[in-house]
Amino acid sequence: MPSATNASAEPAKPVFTASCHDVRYLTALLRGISFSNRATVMAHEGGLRFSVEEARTMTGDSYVHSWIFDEYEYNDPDFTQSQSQTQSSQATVVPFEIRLNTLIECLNIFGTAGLSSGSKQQHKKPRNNIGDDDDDSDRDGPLDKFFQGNTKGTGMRMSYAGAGYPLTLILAESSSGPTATCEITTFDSDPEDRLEVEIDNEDIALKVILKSSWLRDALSELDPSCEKLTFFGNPPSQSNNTSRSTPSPLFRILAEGMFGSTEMDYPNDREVVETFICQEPARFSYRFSHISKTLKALQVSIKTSLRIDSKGALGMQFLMPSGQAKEDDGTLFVEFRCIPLDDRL
Amino acid sequence: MQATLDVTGLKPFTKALACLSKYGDDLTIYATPDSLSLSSTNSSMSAYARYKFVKQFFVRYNVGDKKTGRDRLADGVQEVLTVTGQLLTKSLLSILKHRTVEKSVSRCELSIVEGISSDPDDEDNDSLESKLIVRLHCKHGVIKTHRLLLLTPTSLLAPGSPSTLSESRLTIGPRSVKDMIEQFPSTKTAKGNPQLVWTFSHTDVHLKSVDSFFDSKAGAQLSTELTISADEFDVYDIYCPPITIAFHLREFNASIAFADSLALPLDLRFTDPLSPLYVDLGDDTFEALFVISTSQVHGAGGGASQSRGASQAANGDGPNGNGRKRSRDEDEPRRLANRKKPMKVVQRTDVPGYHRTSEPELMPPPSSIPQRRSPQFSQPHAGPSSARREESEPLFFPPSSLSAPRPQSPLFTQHQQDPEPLFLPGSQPSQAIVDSGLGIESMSAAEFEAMFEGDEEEMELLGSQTLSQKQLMEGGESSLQRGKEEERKLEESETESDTEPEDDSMSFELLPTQESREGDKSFRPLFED
Amino acid sequence: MRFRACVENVPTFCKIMQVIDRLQKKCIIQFKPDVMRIICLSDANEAGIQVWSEIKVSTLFNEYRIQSNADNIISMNIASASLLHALQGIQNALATSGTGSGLGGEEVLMKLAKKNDQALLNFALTTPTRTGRLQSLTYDVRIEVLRALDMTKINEPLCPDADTLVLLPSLPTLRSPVERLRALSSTLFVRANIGPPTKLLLEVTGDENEVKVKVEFGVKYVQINRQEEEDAEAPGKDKERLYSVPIVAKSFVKFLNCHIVNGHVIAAICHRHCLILYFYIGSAGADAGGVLTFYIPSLVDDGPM
Repeated sequence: MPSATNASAEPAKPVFTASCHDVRYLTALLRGISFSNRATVMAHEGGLRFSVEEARTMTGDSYVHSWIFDEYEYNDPDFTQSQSQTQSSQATVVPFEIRLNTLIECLNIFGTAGLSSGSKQQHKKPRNNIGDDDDDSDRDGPLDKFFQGNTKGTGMRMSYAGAGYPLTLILAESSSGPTATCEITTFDSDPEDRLEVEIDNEDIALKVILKSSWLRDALSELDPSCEKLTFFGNPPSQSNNTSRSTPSPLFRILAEGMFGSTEMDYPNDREVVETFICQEPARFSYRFSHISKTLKALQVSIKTSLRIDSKGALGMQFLMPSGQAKEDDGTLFVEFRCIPLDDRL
Repeated sequence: MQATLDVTGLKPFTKALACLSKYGDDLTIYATPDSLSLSSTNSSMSAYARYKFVKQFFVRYNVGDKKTGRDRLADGVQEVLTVTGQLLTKSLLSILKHRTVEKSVSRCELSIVEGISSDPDDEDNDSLESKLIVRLHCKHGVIKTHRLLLLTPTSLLAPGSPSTLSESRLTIGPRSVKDMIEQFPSTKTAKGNPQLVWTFSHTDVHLKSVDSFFDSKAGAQLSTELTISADEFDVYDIYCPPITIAFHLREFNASIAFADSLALPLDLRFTDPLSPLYVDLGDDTFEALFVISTSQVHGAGGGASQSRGASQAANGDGPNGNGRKRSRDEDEPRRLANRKKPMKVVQRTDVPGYHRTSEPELMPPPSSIPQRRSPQFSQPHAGPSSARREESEPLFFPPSSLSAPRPQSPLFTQHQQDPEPLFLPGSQPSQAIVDSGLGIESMSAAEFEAMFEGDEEEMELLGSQTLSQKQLMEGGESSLQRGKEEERKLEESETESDTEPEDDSMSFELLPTQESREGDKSFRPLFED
Repeated sequence: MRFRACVENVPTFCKIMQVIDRLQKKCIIQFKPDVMRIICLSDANEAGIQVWSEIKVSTLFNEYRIQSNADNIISMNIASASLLHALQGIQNALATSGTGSGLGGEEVLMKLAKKNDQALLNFALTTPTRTGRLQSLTYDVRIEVLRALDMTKINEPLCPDADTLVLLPSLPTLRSPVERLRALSSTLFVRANIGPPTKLLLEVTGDENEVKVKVEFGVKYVQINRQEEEDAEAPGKDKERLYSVPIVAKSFVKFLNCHIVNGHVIAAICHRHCLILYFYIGSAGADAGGVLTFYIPSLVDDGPM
């Protein structure tokens, strides 16, 4: 792994600085892709993009738009060199790599960086046969963040001076309270090495938009020994036939493994499936261990948009809460892309 | 088999599965047209749980289809239609207990399709294996279908029916018993499987934790005792109190938790201290049976000096005092080593045999009341030979010797290494029977009964053993007395801890004569010198 | 030797034992006429922490009677978990009966006893069950009585005067940051200056040097009279200078288990030597119910800090 090096001259301005009064939403965006500890960070005018990858098959991206911050300033490091100010905001950006879990731990230093979510709170405090184990209540430290019903948040100021410099964070819960200063080492990143999964948006075989809770429930109910996940789409005109046999569902998730199989069938009901586009019956399979990595993002996500092109490249976009009600119209999201399993093998 | 559950039925059904999962890893399904039974046994076969849901429990319930029914009638064989299957309990439990089930499921359909189906239209069946299909109908029309692979068991585990003779019966509300047990800290630690010793006297119940308190340094450091009034029990019918039993708590706690969640009282039944404990509970639509093996109650002594001291106290007047002591000392190391292994409560049977055990009305009642048990209970001072007699007699031997009352066995001496286990009424076919090659295990009730004229056909539990009743009663009474002494001492203003050695209220002074039975199938010597 | 007492304050006794149990499996308890001392020696726990505590007998007990040939002091080795479980059981029993705290109502009698040549601490109480009927409950906790001679070998650690003494922020406030820091590194630097302004810093460098985190709290400097004089004499004393102790991060986490008991903490830093945390039960000062003192030795660290 390439290691951080010191720059020979200090740049005049940091590549970017950002500040916000509550890190919750940023943290949720990062947690969603934290199944991998190595994240590539790309900074540009519009914000930050954090990317992770799994087994050369799946990618996860969190788009942290600049408007999530109270302040955001981006300074292209080559600005002084380039002649044109209208240069593409991403053209000269040098991405860097960072330990994602370290960043998340720092953001949560005061324990108030969690978004309370029903599903998260379910998993705490295992109970003994009869009654509770007293000890559990005192081991809450790392779990505190899941119990936050409070409104107090952690505020932060973040800055990145450039290649070879650490990512600096200053966090505080209130102006009078304790402060935390973090310097997170950054590493060089090789852009050639990154996996990009192409999805042909002109050739979509199946598109579904549904409330994330349905997908979250489905994935969390599956037997952990599940190996393969298959998505089926049936065009609406066929799914409601009145033949004697069971009508094909609009959208089906089939999970297969050593335990047997599970099918989750979703009907053509607007409460369940908001949008459904499918011209011909479609069927695509993926490795369950990859898809299950989306669970963390699903747990706080509001809506999911799932699209698969004719080659089976899957894209799942999870709409994330931003704390700014009027902005929740699809612009803050985490996206996963996955290459399908070849069923013929 | 097809069964449909609504929201009302799903909750207790899921709770039952949770309880079963604490008893064993595998779930055995046994369905007849009248009822659906789910059972589980722990790995050492020392605890068994069975839930039986009658037809009324379900919204819809039927077993078999027309075609199968026709075939069977045509054969003219009066067999009960049964469907069996086995799977990991947690596979089914994790589906039903998921938090989303409570929120959104309106209906749950369970069905079993057997591997080889002659129905070409059966789209559910696409392989040679049997499957349990769980279909959850959720709100908004979402349907979740789980297809779990089922094993078809060739034999089933079933407990024996207990004798109603010399049976003690108790009924207690779940809250009360839960409160009692929760005061024993050993029940809270996850490691180990704690045991409690229960002593039922005329008016009190005394509970004690079984820890190797006085053993080595590695032993548990905490000992707990609780004395409560017998009035805590709704029914308190003890045959010849005081009586003491001991058993592990892990499975029992699961049953209590189930009872507590539905606010159902528990009926406890037991006979002698080494026969298993039977726990029943239920309502109109289902019944649950739990069988838990009991453990030997032994002295508190760990080291040789301890046991000798204990034995002196207990042996006071017995004419065989010396003999017992000698045997006990020799037994010591093995007994200590095997102390923790309880006995089996179930035995393998085939499906018809299982059906017989689960439908007790099919078995004729015993035609005679064996004499051998009662003298023990009513004559606490029977001689030492009476203490040994049951241990010495083999499981299977010519009918004539069985039907005779056995006040003493001429076969028995202290040095006898008699390998056959005990034969007691109200027990299951033991491995002895199977090994005997007589095909007893597959006989019908009537056939077997004919073989042993006048004796009950129900078989023994493998590995059960007994202490002499005399010892038991001595131990029981003396512990009670000691318990009272302890209470008196508590009330004193001061105790001289150095100068007056307090009585060993920990020990029952029960002197085990043999080691605990291990959960294996081989015969073990009952008594060793 | 004779010893018996009524346990008045089961919850507090319970909580103290919870803290001790988290730290070490075995501890030494010494009953003296006025105080109860609980001692955890460092060789038995991985973090090298020693705990020396002194709790006024009146905080926890009444009708306290003790008599022995060693100045009426009785010392024993005891398994923390066993004592804790017994106390928890008692607490449960009291809770079920409705009293909830043992304060008034049922008597919890504790005494030294012996069964089968085994010395033990016996707890007994009679409480009503849920149905109102009485039940009697006893717990016997095995102990190993220590001779006075053994106790002379056990001494509280000697430390130089503290370089700075500060009042720690409330323990619940410290929990989250310390947990996070512990997740990032096994070594925690605790630093403070004299000030004013007095600040407390908790710093870590990631185990692989991949992160540096510093958490800073504004705190109050604690003045002991003696200290004030010294300060007056040495006006040049550097108020800004940070005194540091690198410690095993886990030790601090274990110490923070005290948060379950109400109290205040004064931290004494002896630069590069040790960190001493004085946990006052209840309020600080003379009327505190007792003190739990945690001695956390410094790690030998050649790092840049």
